[in-house]
Amino acid sequence: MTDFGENIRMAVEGLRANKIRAFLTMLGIIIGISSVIAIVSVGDALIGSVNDVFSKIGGNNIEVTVTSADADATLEMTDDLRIQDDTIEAFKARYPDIVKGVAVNATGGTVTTTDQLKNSSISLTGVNPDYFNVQNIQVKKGRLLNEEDVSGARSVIVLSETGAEKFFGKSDPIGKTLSVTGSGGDRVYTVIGTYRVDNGILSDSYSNQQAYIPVSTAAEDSGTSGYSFILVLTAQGTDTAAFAVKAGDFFSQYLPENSGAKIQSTSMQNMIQEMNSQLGTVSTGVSVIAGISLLVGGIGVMNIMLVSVSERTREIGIRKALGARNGTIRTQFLVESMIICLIGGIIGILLGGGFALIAGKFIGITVFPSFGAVATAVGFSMLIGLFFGSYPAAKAAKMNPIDALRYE
Amino acid sequence: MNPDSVIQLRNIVKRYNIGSENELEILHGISLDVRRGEFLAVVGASGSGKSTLMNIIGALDKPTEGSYILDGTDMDEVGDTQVSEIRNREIGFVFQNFNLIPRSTALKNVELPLMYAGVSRQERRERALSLLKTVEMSDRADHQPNELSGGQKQRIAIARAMANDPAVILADEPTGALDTKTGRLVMDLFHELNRETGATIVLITHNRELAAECDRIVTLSDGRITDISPGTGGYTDQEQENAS
Ligand SMILES: Nc1ncnc2c1ncn2[C@@H]1O[C@H](COP(=O)(O)OP(=O)(O)O)[C@@H](O)[C@H]1O
Ligand SMILES: [Mg+2]
Repeated sequence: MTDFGENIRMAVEGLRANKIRAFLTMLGIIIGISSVIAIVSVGDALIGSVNDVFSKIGGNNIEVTVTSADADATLEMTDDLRIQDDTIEAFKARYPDIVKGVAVNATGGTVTTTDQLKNSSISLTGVNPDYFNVQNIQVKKGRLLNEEDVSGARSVIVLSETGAEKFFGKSDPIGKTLSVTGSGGDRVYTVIGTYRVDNGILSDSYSNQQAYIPVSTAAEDSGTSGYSFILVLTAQGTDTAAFAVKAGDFFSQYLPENSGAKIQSTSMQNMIQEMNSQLGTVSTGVSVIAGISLLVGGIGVMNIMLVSVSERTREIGIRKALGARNGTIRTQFLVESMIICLIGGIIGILLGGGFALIAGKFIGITVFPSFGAVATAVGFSMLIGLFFGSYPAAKAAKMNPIDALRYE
Repeated sequence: MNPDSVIQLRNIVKRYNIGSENELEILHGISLDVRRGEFLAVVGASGSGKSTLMNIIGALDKPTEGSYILDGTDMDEVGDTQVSEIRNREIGFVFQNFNLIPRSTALKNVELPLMYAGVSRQERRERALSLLKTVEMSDRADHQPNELSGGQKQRIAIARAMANDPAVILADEPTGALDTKTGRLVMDLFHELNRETGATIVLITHNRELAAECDRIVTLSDGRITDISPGTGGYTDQEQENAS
């Protein structure tokens, strides 16, 4: 017979008498549990928000890219390899119910402004009107590019909110002009609007730095025609993975024989899966590290419990003389070992939760420490205590009382 | 068999290192009966086997040969769990070096045998407080052993030994670590317990004066009982004279 509360009280008192030692012992458990909690919480939140974002902006998108057929070789990109405007028109005509838009872009390159903020560089992307829909780019002021801008190869430009502020400060940028010097010579653009991208965690600084010009204007400057990369927006409810295959087949027909190029066509579904599996790999990696540190922590706990048993040999002898059964002694030391691990686990949970919240702030996602992970961590740390405490506890339990009492 | 005997030892032999070349026989066939309510002293030189005998009486150790019946139970026939129970309920140990549990208050120390006996929290607290009162240590209930003097520790240990109202209190040189005056007070406490609660006490000592105050004195030399003689039974010479 024994009193469980009494065991807990004794264990806590023993730990308080050796605070530093107890803390050092718990360190492995703390590191292990906190990394598991942090990674699981952040990972869950990340997967959640990535899925959220993809389904909002790109669940229906297919990326079609011209790439090298041989992964080791670099592809010399020429106009006959690029996807041309009439090919895109043919594609739209072939699948009128599925294709809701095709976003194209031509890199205008990084150019230097010559009037406002001289020598400040700006990254130009030539796009068609579909591009804004497909990429979830919203107008803030003025308007975005339209068909007339493209067909007329007009010198008009859409700046990001931050870009406009950089060049024109607080004053209204619409109608203002921006002179740039690029590969195609000097050009004066008229600002027709500003935009903002709001894609949750994907709103990186890059996507808010682009300035958009008509794709035809960019082509004029670069002297090229066609696109090595297009984005196809499909109708709601399309099986994008299956349609990606069809799109790939369609554009492949237009590639010259033995060009060394191939068409790669990927749906966002594929990408979501890819991303999830990459997150899974990261989680597995961290879990392995956490597992090792829990193992090391457990061995540390076993070591300190062996020290504790041998330090308290005499006490064990006294308890046995007073009528403690072997099982009672065993329980006492198991409880102590489990409490060490439990306290370590709780500190780990708090620490890991803290890390997760801080990491969430940095990435810009809301992180809730996962309840499942917390419950598992509590259970698992007690299990570690039980497992690694059982040998020292058994050693204490089977001590001969006379030898124990005589122990100096 | 004497029905009044709490302890009945017959031809107890204890050997150590059995089967090895340094096999040692420490007790060579001890036979002894202790009556219920008796205050028995065991004296003998250091190394004569007193503690070995006490460990056997206290069920901490088993004899190599011989039979031992404690309060009607043949100790040869009990298993591990029952031995723990017997130590808990039938025996109260008092050691030379007190053997209180460190970092546990006096009260918790006295409660310990009660806890192992399965007594409820409330009940064991009450019982422990009343025991502390008996040994005049009520005001030290919340003190830890390292805050107590030797004499105070031994009083706590005696209170703890009495917790489950054992059949026998075994005290192995309980005054050995105390100065004469404190030792005297502890001795008086034993006499008081023996007289007022009828506790059976086996006192091991090599102080012949203290032994002489007991009911009977057993002398042990080299693992044999060489003398059993009556003592004064706790009465001073004056009291004895008055009584006769
Ligand atoms: N575990 C043991 N192994 C071998 N010899 C022992 C052991 N325990 C006690 N002894 C020996 O038994 C003898 C009696 O010891 P003990 O009973 O402690 O004597 P006392 O209490 O009378 O001083 C001593 O010679 C001691 O060395
Ligand atoms: Mg001795």
